[in-house]
Amino acid sequence: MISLKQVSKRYPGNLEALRDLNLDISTGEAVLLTGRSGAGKTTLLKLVSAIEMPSAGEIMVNGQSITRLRRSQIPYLRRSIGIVFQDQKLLFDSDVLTNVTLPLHICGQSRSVAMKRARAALDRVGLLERERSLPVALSGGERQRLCIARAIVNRPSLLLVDEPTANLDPDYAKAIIDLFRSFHQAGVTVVIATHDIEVINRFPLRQIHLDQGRLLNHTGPTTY
Amino acid sequence: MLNWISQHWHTFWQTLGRLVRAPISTLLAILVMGTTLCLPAGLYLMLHSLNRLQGVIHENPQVTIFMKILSNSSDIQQVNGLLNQDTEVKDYKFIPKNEALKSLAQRSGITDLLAGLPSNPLPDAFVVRLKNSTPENIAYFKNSVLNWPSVDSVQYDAIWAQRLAALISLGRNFIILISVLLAFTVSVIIGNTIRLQIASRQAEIEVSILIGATRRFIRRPFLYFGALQGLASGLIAWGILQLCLMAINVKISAFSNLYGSIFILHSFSPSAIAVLLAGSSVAGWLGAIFGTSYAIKNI
Repeated sequence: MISLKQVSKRYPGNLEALRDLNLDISTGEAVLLTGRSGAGKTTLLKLVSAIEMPSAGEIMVNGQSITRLRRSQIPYLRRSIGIVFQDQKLLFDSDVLTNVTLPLHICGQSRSVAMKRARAALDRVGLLERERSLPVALSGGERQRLCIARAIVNRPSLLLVDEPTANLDPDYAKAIIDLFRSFHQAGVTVVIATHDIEVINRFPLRQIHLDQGRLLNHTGPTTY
Repeated sequence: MLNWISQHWHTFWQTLGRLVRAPISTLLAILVMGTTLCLPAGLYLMLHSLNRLQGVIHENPQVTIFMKILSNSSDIQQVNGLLNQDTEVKDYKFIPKNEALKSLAQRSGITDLLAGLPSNPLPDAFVVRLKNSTPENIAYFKNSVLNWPSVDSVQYDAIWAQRLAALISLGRNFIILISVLLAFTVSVIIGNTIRLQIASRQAEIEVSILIGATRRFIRRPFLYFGALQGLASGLIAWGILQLCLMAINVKISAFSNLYGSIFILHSFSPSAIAVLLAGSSVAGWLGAIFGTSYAIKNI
């Protein structure tokens, strides 16, 4: 599903976010991307979703080489990936339902199909009753669930999640993690970037540990 | 295909909704652009009316032969005979000086003034239509008639008709130039409005791009916006000019009556309305392309 070969990412000012990364994630696998803040977790997710391009190396996603993709092909790759952004990136002047139908409109779904599928996704994350609310009226946990609904509404085969439990209390965090667990059980490849020990302990999966842009592979809970 | 149509339909209504939800700014923008479009459209109307007048003149080219004031009936008979023999003459009509005076009195409304004159100042005249009314033929005819006895002068309305034609041709080029410049102005206004809209919706556009929107998808509602604003501007221009025509034609008609003619500015023909609306829509659409291509590239 995801393959990285000798991937490095340097930002202007010679800031090296990732260094010679080699990594394989199989289809249907769920992995935790762990490490301190600034370890390169978000950068790795951005490279996999082609939001940024690597400075060196090759990235394959769903059999497509991201580094060889034409600019015009990138949107189509992103449509096959569900992304939950760390900063949520919600449309705050549009209601919950509009936020969730957006990816479907982008994919060319008709209005009726988009509505039906968006409501199904909202139902899945327990937000159906809030479909007419504005995101500002939602709690932190509800906003995170809204982001998840938007990420899954296109039925992606790959879900990239960046710090899903940041600023959430333990009960909300548990509910969110349980959601990802259910997606994984349904066959979706899930990559969760987190430095939340609770998440790591509650989700006993393969861990990909990053430290200063370098990869340290191991499984099991970690303490920082 | 149905999805594609459905998407465009959805975008169209969404864009129309955005326009309606901001009525003041929409109205102000289309008023500015509509009044801008009034200038070339108004000039077109004027030119179109002059063109019709020119057409009327060209259909009935007439040469008027004025006799000397002191010419007598035998002089008139002689000219009558010459005209009868001339194979180039299609038909002609003799207008006696008394009839001319009567006609002038009726048309000008200065009966009292004319009645006070000691004698009729108008000459007898022949109004002639030629079989072949090319400028060369008319010039040849005119020169030969001037040599006839008791003929004072020969007047041909083609002289000012030719001037009018030249003026119309010049005006046409001027209108094309003005239209292009003002269509460009409309495009720039719309482009700038859209650039500001993109700036205010930057967050939404960024999110859309991150979740897989193509540049075409992002651009689409703005293109509709530009075309709709252009179309509305065209409608405003049409409406303003129709009102102006209604007001000004009363004055023009009264003025032209003083000169014994009926001249009014003609309204837009259906094809001219179609061209105005299509042109303003295209100008808006082009403005949207300029506005989006620059602004979206930087997101």
